[in-house]
Amino acid sequence: MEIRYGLVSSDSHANLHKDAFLERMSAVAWGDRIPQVREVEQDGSLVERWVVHGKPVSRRGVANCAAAMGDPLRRTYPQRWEEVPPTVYDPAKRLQALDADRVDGEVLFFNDPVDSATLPFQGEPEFELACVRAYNDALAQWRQVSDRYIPLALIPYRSGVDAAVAEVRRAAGIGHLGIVMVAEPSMTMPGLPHFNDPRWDPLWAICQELDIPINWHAHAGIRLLPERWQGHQALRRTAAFSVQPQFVANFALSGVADRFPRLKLICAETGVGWLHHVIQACDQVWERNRLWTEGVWTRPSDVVRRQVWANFWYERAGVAGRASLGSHLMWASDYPHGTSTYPDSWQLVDAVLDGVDPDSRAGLLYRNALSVYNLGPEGFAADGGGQAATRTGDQACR
Amino acid sequence: MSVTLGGVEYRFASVDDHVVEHPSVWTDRMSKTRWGDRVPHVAESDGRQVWVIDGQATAITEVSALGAVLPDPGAAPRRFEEIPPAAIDPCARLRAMDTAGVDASVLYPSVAGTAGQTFGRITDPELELACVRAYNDWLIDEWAAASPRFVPQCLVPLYPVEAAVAELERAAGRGHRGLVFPALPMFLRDVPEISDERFGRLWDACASLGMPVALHCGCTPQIQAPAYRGFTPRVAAALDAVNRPFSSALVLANVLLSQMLVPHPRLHMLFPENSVGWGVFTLETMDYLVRVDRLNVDTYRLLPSEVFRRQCYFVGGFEQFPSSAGDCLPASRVVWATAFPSAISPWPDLAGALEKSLAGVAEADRRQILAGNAASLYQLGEIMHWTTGTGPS
Repeated sequence: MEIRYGLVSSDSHANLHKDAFLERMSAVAWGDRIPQVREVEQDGSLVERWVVHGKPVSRRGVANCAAAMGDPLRRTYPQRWEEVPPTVYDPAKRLQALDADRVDGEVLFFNDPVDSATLPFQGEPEFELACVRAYNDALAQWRQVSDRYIPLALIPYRSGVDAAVAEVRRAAGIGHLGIVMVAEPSMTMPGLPHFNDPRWDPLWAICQELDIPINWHAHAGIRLLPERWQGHQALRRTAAFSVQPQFVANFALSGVADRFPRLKLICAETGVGWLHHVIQACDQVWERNRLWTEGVWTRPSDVVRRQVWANFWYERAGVAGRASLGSHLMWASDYPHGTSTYPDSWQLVDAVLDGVDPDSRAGLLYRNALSVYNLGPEGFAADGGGQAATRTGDQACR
Repeated sequence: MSVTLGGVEYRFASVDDHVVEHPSVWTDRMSKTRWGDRVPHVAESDGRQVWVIDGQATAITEVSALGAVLPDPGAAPRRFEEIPPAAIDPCARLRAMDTAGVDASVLYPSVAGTAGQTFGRITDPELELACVRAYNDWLIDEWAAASPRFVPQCLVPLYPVEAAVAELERAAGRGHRGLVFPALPMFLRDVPEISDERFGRLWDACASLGMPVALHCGCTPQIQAPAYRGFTPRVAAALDAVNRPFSSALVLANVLLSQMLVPHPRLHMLFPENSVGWGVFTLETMDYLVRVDRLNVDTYRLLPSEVFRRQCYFVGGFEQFPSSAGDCLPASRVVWATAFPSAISPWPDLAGALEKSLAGVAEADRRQILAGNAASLYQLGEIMHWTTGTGPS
């Protein structure tokens, strides 16, 4: 990726084209169940929605793209596909939005109809697998259009860990640079093994072998928000941002990092101000309870500094308090979601990074992200040192 | 008493410590004739002692975190006589406070729930009230009476609000200085959630009595990720000690985004424990989310952090004070605690822990954080007179 502006978003959202699944999945095998955009009735009016398994996946609109709708109040969502700005789903046209916001590149998480890296694909294992493969094939095309995109693949959960391993290998082969997962499979899909269960080890092994980071996004498939609270949108979002810290604490004490010391875990759309606290708290209980005598060999802060990354966009204090975690924090725009910095990303960047030295700034704004996804151009040293990129960064050599 | 940091003496009011209720707290005070075995009492079970509360048995260690006073924090006592006196006896507690340099201690329950939640599960309102009253009376009779250095906080029946207000006023009359209220009462039984306007009268009563409301973490597992079943008990307890406080980020978000404090500007609210560590993150997140959706234009006249700074406090423990947060979290909104006698307490090397936690914090701010703010919150003027500048005598 060529760096012209000095800004890479480590959390953005690619919406697939409305025909992406229809073009790639067998009509004979899956028929109307294939994810597609259809006209549905909602509250007495006809609107278009993504429909999976014959069921609409969102009430709000046909795409989650409030920041791209031109409404300064961010309260407008497209009700028909023709209202969706092409920058949301067309990789060639989207480059204009990146340039307008002076952003070099972006890490691509899912958008409608995918939610929480999996939810609408529940059903029998074969259906989930077919959807996941179609999604990964379609998103891989974005990187064919431009190397400014860093696509992240989905994995299947219901066909066993071997199928997930195979899909990671296949996805990496077609250009994906990471995978998106739910943070705790056993909570999102009861019946699956817990994250700490060694039955997942083959998945961690392939991700470590191929240097494919695991990405958790926002609530990461887990809702801890009491139902009676859900009336406030800002509350729902704050609650979503507060889920992953509990699972990072689990990761730090899980033993998974001892078994897979080069496995990378990235916390997207969570903010970063909690990360320093989580390592302080984990170290405190690790020392106080002498957890090394209980099989937790590595000091939790060492696990986090070695294997966990997180992204920020609005936290002045969170960035100022980064302490020794500077090389593990990465800027994000969250385009085209309602909380995005678009179209004035640099305005917030300058406010949040006020007073940060130029080298740390470059790390926080793009070098750390390029480095963690193995795209660091030679000679880039990440913020805080010790994270110098080892590859020259072209997909062709993967 | 005082704690010495960098050669300077500071008074220290710890705003979050836990009493451990002894076996006859309720049996001494509740009618055996009326309640029989429903009075909270201790029973024997396989060589260990258990608390039995309205028919529910719980190991004594499940309801009292004692890690700070045990030689091995992972090895919990099975019987009362094995509980170190500093945890359970007010006089021994005072001696421990002398040793560590703690001037005053704001008291929270253990058996009655670290967040005051235990009796909220009782569906018989008269039994709930009787249990709550017995706790409130006992805390005055045995702890507050032992020394003015103990700051008693009461419980109230969850609901209806008239019953809660009546007990609050009675408890205030007996000398209680704060209210411990579970932040998610609707998970205890079928009652409104705390931002419901039906609770408004309780907050008004607290404000007019000058009693801060403490929403201690850990009142319910519903907002916390469960520990992996394959963890050893010690690792599971350690993860709980990290995630229990952090789960209160959701509580803080609900309080500020529901705007429940806006009509009660004189109400003070605290968020124990470790909220100094995670709180700034939540404040910055809420302010951004309100601003990015332009909700400050119509819905939120004050930003969440502005309401916080008007009437709330974070409670520090082992974590570092985030000086880099600047104006977002001024020293005037921070109090500190030892969390005695739980395992996360830095006890007994309090001075060492405070040196680390308050590194780089100016002396005037340290005085405010360690004593000044607590002195005004809990009217500690008489025993903390030196906070006004006369210095320790």
